[in-house]
Amino acid sequence: MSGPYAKVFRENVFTNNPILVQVLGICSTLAVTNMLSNTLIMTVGVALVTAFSSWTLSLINTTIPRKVRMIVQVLIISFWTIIVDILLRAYAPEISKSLGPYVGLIITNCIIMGRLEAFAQANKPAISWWDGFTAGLGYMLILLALAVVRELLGFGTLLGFQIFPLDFTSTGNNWTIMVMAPSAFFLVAVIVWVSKTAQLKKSQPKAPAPAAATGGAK
Amino acid sequence: MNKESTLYVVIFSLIVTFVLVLPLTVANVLTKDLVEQNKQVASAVSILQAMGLPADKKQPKQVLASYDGLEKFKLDGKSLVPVTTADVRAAEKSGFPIQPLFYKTTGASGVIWAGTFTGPGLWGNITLALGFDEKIERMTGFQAVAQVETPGLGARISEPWFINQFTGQKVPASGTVKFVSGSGAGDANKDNDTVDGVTGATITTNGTRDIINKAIAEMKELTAGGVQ
Amino acid sequence: MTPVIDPLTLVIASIFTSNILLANFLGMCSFIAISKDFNSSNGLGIAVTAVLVITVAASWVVLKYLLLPFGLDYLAFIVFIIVIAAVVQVLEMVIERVSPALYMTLGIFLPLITVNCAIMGAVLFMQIRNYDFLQSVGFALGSGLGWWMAIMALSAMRAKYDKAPVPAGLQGTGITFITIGFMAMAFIGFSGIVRVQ
Repeated sequence: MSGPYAKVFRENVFTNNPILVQVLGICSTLAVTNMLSNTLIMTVGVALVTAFSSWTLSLINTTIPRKVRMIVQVLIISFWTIIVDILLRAYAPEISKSLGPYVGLIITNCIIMGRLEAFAQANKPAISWWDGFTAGLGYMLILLALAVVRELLGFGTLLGFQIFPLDFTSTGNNWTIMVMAPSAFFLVAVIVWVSKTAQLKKSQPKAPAPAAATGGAK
Repeated sequence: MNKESTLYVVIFSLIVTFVLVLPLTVANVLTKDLVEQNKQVASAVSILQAMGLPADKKQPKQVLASYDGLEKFKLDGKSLVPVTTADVRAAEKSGFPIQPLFYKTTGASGVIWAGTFTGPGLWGNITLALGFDEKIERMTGFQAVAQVETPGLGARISEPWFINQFTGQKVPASGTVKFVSGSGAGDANKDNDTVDGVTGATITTNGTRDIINKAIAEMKELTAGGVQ
Repeated sequence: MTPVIDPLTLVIASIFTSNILLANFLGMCSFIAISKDFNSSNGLGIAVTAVLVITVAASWVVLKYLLLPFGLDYLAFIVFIIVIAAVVQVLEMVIERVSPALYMTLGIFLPLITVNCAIMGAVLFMQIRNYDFLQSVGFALGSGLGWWMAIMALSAMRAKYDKAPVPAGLQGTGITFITIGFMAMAFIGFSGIVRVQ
């Protein structure tokens, strides 16, 4: 992978992961994270919409008048979202039904607007596509992790395959809270906690060597 | 031309709108028939599965042929009036689909009745396809045709464990099925008067229960009266 | 087919049992950002409620009389977002005229209501559930009030925990999410108070 592409990949997926660093764009997908399959489809959709919207914007970025910049960005995002929606409805109708209104909510996903403003506005088409796609990948990683925990503990399944027996907790029931809203919030908090602590540790200066014994106790 | 001038902005906006709307219109036109067929196949599959008949989503032509082979009825007052597949499709096209629709078939195991029944759920209507044997003493199947319930909770009425409870489930003598708290695996006993509900989704479960019980009462009344 | 639900029931249900933020996860970005300040939270809550009601009502009209009769419903997403942008633009002008102080406080967050997932979400839910006009307005009003209530509660709590000794890794986003999680749990306790029919 050539230099700038690798750099973009590293930044979008790790150091500047949209969710971990900016907590952006989770609203529209958190709702579907209680099932891994739905999350997979949604995040692939977001990645592709971000990629192609960035690409489209980058193609015309020098011709857009300032006044209509935001509305043009929103129109481009809506366009690609409708394409995704039409494709799902024609070729994967069941998935389209189970995602319901959440496909349309890709439009309001702040990550996409964020990438368009921050990168595609001022860069060339090919790398803009890549930037959008990798931002989507970073987004996908976190949400898939979330979904794995929620579906595994809430239903005992992963992608519909029973992994844990149905009565794996001592009370004989699944951890139902994992299926309901609050668990998503708690899990995001845990993920953010872990990542922020890791980042803080990394940026802390190395502890000075222990003072010589002579400087010791009074 | 100056990029910021009003004329430029207007022309630019028009061009952008046109360039965006055109592919969408093309995509829509190209996929319209496929989307329509998907809807018809999905609905036909629900009815066939509720009747316990084979229906493979991956074989749309077969599914539609099987659907065509069912006897169909619409409701006229309190009696059933036969209609044809052509009538059904024509009504759908006109924007006023025939509702409710009932189905009957005579198979190896006897006469099977089915219908689509709608009632309120938590957020909107739930539409179920339910199948019964000739005397409405046993259910042949259950399918959730349309629902907008909470994903992961109420929406679980579409999951296999819930659906399978109703295949071969005895209709209680009282005419009403009771939902109880279950283990999440579904009630395998088809001869008792209860089935498992969805934990944590009380309103959806109650809504589903009411639809089923009303359907039982309605089917008993309609099939007792005979067909016109 | 339009469900048979009383619009007033929808108002109550949307505030409590299916709060658009705490149960449906919509509208979070500005929720987290603005809840730092109590007064701005109040202003934003009112603005979001107003935008929700007007937008859902306008979108319903556009959907029923423009998109559906002409078979244009595949363009729904684009049309909805344009309606939202237009309503927010008008509201911005009105607020600037009527209450410049509020306009100053809200700053950039007013135009950002356009991409607030709660607005688009409410419009899409209205479309999918086939609500009629009164149900749509009731649903939008309840969603707005619920969002407003949630942001007020959160900003009140933030005032407290911003001063508490939170571990470094949890500060800011982390503890906010845990708090929201508890709020969501508390709201689950409301389910069952309203029987939608």
